[in-house]
Amino acid sequence: MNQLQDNAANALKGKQLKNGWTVTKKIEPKPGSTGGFFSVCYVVNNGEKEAFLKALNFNAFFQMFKGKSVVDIINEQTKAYQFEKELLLKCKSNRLSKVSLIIDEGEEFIDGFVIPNVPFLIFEMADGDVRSHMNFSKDIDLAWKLKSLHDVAVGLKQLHGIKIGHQDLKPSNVLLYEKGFVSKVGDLGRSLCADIVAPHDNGKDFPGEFTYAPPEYLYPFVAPDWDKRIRATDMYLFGSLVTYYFLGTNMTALIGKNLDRQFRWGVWRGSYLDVKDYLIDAFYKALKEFKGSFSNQELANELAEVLEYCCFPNPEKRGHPKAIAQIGNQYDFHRVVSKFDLLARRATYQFK
Amino acid sequence: MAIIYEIKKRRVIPNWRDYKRTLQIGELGLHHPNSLDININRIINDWSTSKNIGTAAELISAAFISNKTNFSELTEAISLIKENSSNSSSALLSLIDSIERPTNVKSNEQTSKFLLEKDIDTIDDFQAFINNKSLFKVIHRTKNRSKNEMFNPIVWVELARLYTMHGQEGKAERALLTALHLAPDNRFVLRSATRFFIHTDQFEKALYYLRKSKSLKYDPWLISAHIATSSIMDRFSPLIKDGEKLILSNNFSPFELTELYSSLGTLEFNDGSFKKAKQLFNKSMIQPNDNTLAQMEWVSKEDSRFSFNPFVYETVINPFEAYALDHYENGNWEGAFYNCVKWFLDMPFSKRPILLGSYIAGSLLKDKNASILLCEVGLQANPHDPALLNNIIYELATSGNLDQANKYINQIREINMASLTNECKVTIQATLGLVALRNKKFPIGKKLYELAIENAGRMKSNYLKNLAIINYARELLIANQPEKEEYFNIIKNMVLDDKHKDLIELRKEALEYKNY
Repeated sequence: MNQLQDNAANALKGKQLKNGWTVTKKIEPKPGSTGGFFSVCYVVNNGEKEAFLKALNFNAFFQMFKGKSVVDIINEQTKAYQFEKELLLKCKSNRLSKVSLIIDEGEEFIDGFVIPNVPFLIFEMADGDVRSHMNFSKDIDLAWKLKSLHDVAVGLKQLHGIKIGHQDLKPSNVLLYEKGFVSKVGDLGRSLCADIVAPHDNGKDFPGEFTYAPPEYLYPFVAPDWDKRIRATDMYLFGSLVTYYFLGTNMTALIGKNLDRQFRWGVWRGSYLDVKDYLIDAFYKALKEFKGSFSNQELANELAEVLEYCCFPNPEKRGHPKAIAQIGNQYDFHRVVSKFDLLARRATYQFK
Repeated sequence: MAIIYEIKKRRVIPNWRDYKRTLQIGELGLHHPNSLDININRIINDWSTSKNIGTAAELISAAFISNKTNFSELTEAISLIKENSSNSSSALLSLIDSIERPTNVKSNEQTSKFLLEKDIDTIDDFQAFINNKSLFKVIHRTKNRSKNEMFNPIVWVELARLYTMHGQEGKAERALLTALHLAPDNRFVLRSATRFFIHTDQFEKALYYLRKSKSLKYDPWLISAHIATSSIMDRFSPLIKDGEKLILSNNFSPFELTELYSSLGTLEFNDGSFKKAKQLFNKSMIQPNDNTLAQMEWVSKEDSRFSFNPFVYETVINPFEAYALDHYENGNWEGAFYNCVKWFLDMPFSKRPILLGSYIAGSLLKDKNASILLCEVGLQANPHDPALLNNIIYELATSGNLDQANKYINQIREINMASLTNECKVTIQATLGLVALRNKKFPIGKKLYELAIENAGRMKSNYLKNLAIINYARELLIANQPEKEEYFNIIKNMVLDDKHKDLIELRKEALEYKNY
């Protein structure tokens, strides 16, 4: 039996699952879809609707971490799976409207394999992620972009409301539904939660994808207060996503481009605190460049204002200036949500 | 009598340039590659699975951030963006440019030996540069920037520097205090502030902000500034030992330590320890900057045991001060003047290049207009500086422009003479004597000159005394006064040190007035 054959996760096609779903088709994971290399994806149907099934692929882990104890791998991945499942169930029970929700979950046992267990999660079927919809030329799809960003901001606010920090917000984790009209935040695999211990939270590293990390993590600096750190990180990631929507680059790349080479991560030998002021200077230059990419200067200024408080290189200074004055509310998304609601409505009205 | 600007004891005070040039010179870096490795496999995989503008843009950002810029998928992604440039943003295209030309531009800039505020070729260019209107515009622009970038300490330092160039020290100080509040530990901010406070004779403040910084003990550039500032105040810096520890730590490159070596060397030199000083100065010259090069030049003129040729150090950026001093000592007046102008254009608030340059232009190159222009420029940044006021009065009076000279005499009268150094007092006394003689107020003029000569003698400064006598003799010859023969003979028989080439030149000129 070869590796592919000796893999229960690969053998789900045609199966009738215990909870009424039929596995109709195996699909390649969509770019950036949850789990990436470590899951096998299927289309499932329960007679009413189609959905997306993600089966945990233990075999892929063994291939990836050759030499590592099998027990350790199974233990780690089980914990990761359990963690994501618990978060998703928490989101589901709180009916978060702008987070990609789990519809069902379970575990199949398929005889004839070394590891017969196949834990799976079933999600709403998305049309893809935002990257396939992107066009970075001036004034194109403004209303759609602003509406999508509003949805994402609502999604983050909803997550924060149940003490979950997404921590891995990036274009591939913004999923589109209803023919692209609705955007939802997906993939909580790297999230952190105040109530549930995350197996990947070592208290110092950035949990998400490093190329989207706020600059402080690249030097590396970890703000001591857990709650503030988590919220400040999500706020940066949201601002960085705004930059991507309009420019195609994320904010970290834009700051890096405006930062003298001697201060760049990978080159700078000093600490984050030593380099912070140069990052701030580069950040303001990045904002200037951002504003220069719009023909609508009013919109450019309003977005830059949001970016200034979302992506400020010093995490302590992030948050709306008025919110900073309100104790315990510095990183709240409600002002961001209101702003994007207004901008999206205005843009829709202008282009009608 | 014009003041020649001689610093009795030069210290390694940080130079203050704009942020861009300070970066290019490399005084802010701690650059040794570290081991940060960012995995971008997921993004490469996504691009390979679905090739569109969105995934291409994501891959380009990721490649830039991870500094992985040489793989086929990236080339494909860049091609896609370039082929669809109408669907792209200028920022994304510019990021691609940064990836494709990572360091070429910068390395070219770095190899340039001259990094000036503005380079000039003609006197008209120079006049345009000092034109208040253009300076006002830059100040206005930077002021607006500081309003928009309220939390950017770098902009506040830039604004302070522009105000200093314009002689608005109060505003400059307020801007610097904002920068210090925002970034109390930042090297660029602290070194700029140190230079500003020394420029405005606020030595205690310079030490206060250095001492307050958490970075002080760990930063050789700041320890050097602390040692130099303490030395001006005749104090010993408590950080000398910390500086020595940093040197022994082997954590810093010779360039990062050059000012610290030079500051420590200067302390040893002033204490008379030639051997230790020489060792430290030698180390400071392994990879010097313009400041340590000038310090070495100054030391070599103070003590002939230090033989030194600044022109050997070809990689030093902006070596104007060292070159000016060297040319001046060797009687190359044109070379010295040219480097004084460049030195000023490098730091357009500094008065030392103006004082030396105006003296050379007026007294040695006989170009009174250039000298007056330099003084006017210097007075923009330092409107109450007695030495500059003295120099411009001297140049205006000796070029026959007595009305203009009187305007500056009124300004000099507002200065508290008690606060001046003895050299300055004597020089101003002699200059006022010159103005009186030119105004045909002979008794007053003679009295003032004789007092200046007497006071210079009391100070045991042969140089100053001889300078006053030569100037007095020339004025007596021009005014055809009875004492002219006596003073003609005195200067004719005066024994002058070979190293005082300026005095030799001045005497030659004065003797030519015999048959005036």
